Amino acid sequence: MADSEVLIEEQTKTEESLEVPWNVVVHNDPINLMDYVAKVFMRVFGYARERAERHMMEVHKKGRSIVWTGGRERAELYVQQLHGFLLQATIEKSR
Amino acid sequence: MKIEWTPEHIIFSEIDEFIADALRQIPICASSCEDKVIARIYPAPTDGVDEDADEDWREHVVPGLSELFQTHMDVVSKDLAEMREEDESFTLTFPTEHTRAWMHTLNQARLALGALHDVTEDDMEGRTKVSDAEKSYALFQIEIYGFILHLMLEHTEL
Repeated sequence: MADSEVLIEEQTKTEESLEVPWNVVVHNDPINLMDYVAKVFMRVFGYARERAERHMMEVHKKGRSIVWTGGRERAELYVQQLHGFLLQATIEKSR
Repeated sequence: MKIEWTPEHIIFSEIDEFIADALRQIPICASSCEDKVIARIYPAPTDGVDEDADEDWREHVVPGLSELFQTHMDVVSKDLAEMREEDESFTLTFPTEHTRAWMHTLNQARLALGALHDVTEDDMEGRTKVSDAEKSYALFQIEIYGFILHLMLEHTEL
């Protein structure tokens, strides 16, 4: 009985995690070159230069930019790719 | 220092001893295992909000990233070992297909130095007076590595 309750609760939690949109957030750091950051956005998300540079400037001026929103699994994959390019990226629930 | 870009090779020539030494430091800086450096090179995906997810990440994602980064560093280390001295200066030549490994390792070295020496935006903009000799040299390294990285970005897609 207790086990099935836990199972149901875990299932609900997992389903909720998958359904809620997740943001991929890139955070500012003082070292990364601005043209490098823009090129990473073009490479990882396939963004046009203008959009990539807009996000890069937002990171630079506001300290962070939501660069993508969607399912958790894909968000994690994007964060993994961004970490592969040494950007400071996190995922967070979209409000 | 002169940098020549051919379809097959990138050639750094007329490198003086001081710059040559800074170049040799690239993989050493990039591979620093200090806690502050590890935290910057392998950031947590939820920044502590979901500790289970961060732990899972450390277990399953970080080893693959670490292996990838090491592959890039190995390429750069081997190229640097081929740097040769002639007429009181050094020449470094490596194939253009190594450029991505170089860009990654240059960036990793910059970030590692930044983390290790608590480099701030003000430091990078020259708005602070740095009296610490080690930090001063680190800022020079970040600058010269950034200059080379910037040149590579102009010639190569990531």
